[in-house]
Amino acid sequence: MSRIAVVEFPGTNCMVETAEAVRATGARAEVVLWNASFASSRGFDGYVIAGGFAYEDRVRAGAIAAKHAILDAIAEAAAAGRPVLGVCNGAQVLVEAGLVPGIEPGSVQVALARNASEGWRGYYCEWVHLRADARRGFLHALSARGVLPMPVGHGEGRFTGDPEFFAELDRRGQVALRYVRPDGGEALGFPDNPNGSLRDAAALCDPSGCVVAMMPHPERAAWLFQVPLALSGAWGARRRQAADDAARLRGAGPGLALYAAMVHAASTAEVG
Amino acid sequence: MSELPRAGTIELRALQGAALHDTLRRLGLHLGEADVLRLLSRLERQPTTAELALLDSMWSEHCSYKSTRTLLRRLPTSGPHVVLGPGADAGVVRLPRIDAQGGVDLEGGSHCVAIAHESHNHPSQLLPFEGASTGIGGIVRDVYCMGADVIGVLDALRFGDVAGAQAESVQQIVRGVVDGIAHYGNALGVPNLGGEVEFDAAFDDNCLVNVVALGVLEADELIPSRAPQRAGDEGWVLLLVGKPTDDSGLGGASFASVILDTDEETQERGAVQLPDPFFKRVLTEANRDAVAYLRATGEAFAMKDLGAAGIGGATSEMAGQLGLTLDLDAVHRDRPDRPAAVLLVAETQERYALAVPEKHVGALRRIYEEKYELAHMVRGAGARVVGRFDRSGRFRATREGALHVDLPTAWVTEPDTVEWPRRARVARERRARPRPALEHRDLQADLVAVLASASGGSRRPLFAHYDSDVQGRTMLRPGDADAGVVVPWRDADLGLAIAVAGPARLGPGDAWRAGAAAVAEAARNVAAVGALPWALTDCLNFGSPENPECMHDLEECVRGLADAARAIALPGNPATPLPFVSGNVSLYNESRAGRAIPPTPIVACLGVLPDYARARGMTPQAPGDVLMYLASGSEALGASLYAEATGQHQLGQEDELPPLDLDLERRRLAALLDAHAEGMVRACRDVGAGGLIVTLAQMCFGRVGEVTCGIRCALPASTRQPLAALFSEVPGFVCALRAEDVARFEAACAARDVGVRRLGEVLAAPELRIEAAQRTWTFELAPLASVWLHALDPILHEEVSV
Repeated sequence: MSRIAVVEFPGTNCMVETAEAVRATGARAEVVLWNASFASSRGFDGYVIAGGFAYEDRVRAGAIAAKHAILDAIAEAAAAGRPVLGVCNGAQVLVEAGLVPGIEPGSVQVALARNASEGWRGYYCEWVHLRADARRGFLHALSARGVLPMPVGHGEGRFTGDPEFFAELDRRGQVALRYVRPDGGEALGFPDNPNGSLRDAAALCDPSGCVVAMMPHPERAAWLFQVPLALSGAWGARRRQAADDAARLRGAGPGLALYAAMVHAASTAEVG
Repeated sequence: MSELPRAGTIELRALQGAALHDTLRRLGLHLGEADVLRLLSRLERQPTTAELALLDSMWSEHCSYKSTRTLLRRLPTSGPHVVLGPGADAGVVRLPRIDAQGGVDLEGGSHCVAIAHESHNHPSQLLPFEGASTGIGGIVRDVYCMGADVIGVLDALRFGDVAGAQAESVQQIVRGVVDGIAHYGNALGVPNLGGEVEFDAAFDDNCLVNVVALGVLEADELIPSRAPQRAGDEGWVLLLVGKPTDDSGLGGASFASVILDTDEETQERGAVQLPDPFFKRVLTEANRDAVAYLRATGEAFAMKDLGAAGIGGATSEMAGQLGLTLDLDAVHRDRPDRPAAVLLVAETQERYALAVPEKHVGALRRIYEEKYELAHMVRGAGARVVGRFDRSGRFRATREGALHVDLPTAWVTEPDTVEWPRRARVARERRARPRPALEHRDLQADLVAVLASASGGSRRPLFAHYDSDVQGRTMLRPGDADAGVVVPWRDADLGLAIAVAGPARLGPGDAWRAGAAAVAEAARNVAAVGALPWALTDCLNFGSPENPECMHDLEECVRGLADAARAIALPGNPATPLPFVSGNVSLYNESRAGRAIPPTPIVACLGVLPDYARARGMTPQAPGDVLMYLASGSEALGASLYAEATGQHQLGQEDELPPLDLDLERRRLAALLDAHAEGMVRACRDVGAGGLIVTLAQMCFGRVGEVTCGIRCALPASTRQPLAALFSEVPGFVCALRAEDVARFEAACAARDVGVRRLGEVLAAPELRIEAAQRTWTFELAPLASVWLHALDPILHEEVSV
């Protein structure tokens, strides 16, 4: 059974449901605190950095957490080809740690800036629609799954930087998840793209695809009962059809596939 | 202790009348003269500064409920499922055990819900962001300290007129309050499950910020807030955990009881507390660990959050009948030189007190200070022993070798009640009037006016700032249904529904109605999704109790709450009233000019879904479904949003109110819940502000304004004025059913003696078709949805530069 570390920094607030989603895929999930020693935090088959507000977003979101020793253990695992997933604040930590997009490992090459959309100010919580566009790594398997709806909840989730650089990332297949219309078509600004991210990027990955930094929350879409009743698309229809069936409602939602893909990669990664 | 010299005292004994009054005010105290004279006669010495500061807070209206305690006893508060009623930080109810046949056993379950309800009105008026933020911070602490996990918060808000005489300050307050709620709840990681908002010029000087938190726990996990009797024996200590005590929120409790005055606002801003959701997040994790450790020891312990009156307030209440001596020198603080009075009553946020055997202190301090590194999160934070329990029955505090407080504990925590005089108002005359003007109005223009008004528009511009999905338990979000629905346990089918409701546009003199209607609406909201109304909480927001008419309103309102809770009763148990398990009273909501808010009771209703899979939202599922209307045929427009939004103020003030029949409310809830249990209901909505037509439109809009269907609605031939019938806010429901279930549904209603009428059908076309005897109107829904969705945009969205 794979052992997955769910990393908790001071201010992380999604570790419980994240660990639960990981367990639902058959892996063992252990919540590891920020001050765990390097020795005790290395050696996991995969790492999830859960969402929240690590160090209350002091300096910049993710900036302080990225300096912890536990990130060395994570970098070591990534170098060995083990999967690493940062969700929301976890994505901000991976970007600040220079692990994503990781073309020059260790240097911060993109930013997750304040949301900037025509018609919305500040923190935004709503369901969005995603398409997996990763060419490598554990999200690649999801590209055949169609549109995956799940919620975002963030104030600083706009992937931004040099537009040329983002075009290059896109060409390399590092825009791992993209905001799309409910029918899978290209996003037409807000609310399809909820924060103004370049290339409609909802997630970026490193060149190998092992390290993924995503803003939406798959653990909040891990079960069908979490899917909004009025959601458009296939998952909304599935939710409505299950209206009277507790067993189906308790079953997998669109987000569980992300954790399943990650855990699968963890169980098959070569031990470095 | 008695060998310690007494700290410096204040010369009050020789004073009386105006001299006493002036001295108290000069000292910055808000204690009434009568309270002080009674204290002095019992004390037989001069009081110390710290004693006066403590009693100033503890005897304030906010802490002591001295004006309302007697009145509140009229509310039903007990029931076979009530574990803990009002009086504790939060009320606790047991959830039912559901047997294999779907039967509901009131007492058999082990899952419990803790729920608390408070106001943070005055602080939010002065510093909206901090006030609203610490409102959330305080209410979640009330639930955490019962041993529960907080799984949701709600907020009921009242703001002034965003386009009125004080538009600019009102809009600033709206933005600050929304940002404050978002700031705290989002960072703490507690989902926002709903709320309600109204705008009315009567709240220009006094916004209302009422907050509700709910948490879950097992019956054997409840942590008492009073130290156990054995703590009076040797070896029990008071452990203070959290942020270092500073001088923030100094006098917050008494501050909340003073009439706001713009001239004093600046001075009183020092009384507002400072929020720190980040630290609270870490402290919550540390508490969870500490509580698990204590539970594993098998020993009794107590825990309480520090709120009003700070250390002095919480620890005197923990001591109960026991004695407690605080060593204020041992309190971890931001500066070494804080005086005793400040350490005792400052309302520094993010602190808890634990009563524990001393032998466990080492292990507990390691959890707080080493494992969770509290001092690394906020300088000076930690866990310190600051007091010892004894059997003296006295509450004492020492600092730097002097005795600063030495009072019987019961004096501190149980001040005398006050009975203010009451005087009935000259009742407002409301009656059905001829309304010829309505015949010439344009329905479409009026509908647009209602949907575009601040009170009628979508609340999404507010609640999309709040995280409603964190913790992964949310099933129905704000805007999906009349109530929020969560799935708290993965191993049980039980779901919880929660909603808050309060009156709008009712005035003084309508106080009974305000109370009764708030209970009825909150119960309807949870029943709409299919949940059994299970328990209530209330917050009574009023003006000054010293005004006899206001006090009369308060009494009438409590009567209304009690009447409705008794009439509606627990589903299936008509002799058991719906219990109020927690509550709060906020008085003195008036400006110095004497302008009081209208009576505003806010009621939250907790509902239980025996099987969460049966929870229903408001969005119709399929074209062809039949819409049924469970409401009386009212054309009354008194206190309607329609009258207000279309500028027909006299109509709103003088027309009769839609009928409210509490016995019918109970029967209608029973009929609806029967239909839910039979799986007949596919979508349901309580008829709310704006009446039937707005309810139908919103069922088609959904949460995000994406119109998924249309509706055909036929008015009965007996309708006299279609506009009045469409906009009357008559209590009731609209339900969508499969066509083949209509006869069964009608039978279910007839079995409960509830009138029901077939209204029309769900259409595939996104249009609203209204058919009256004389004519038919057809409205395209998409443009209406856009108007509705963006009604609050100008208030909340400043243009962002990309």
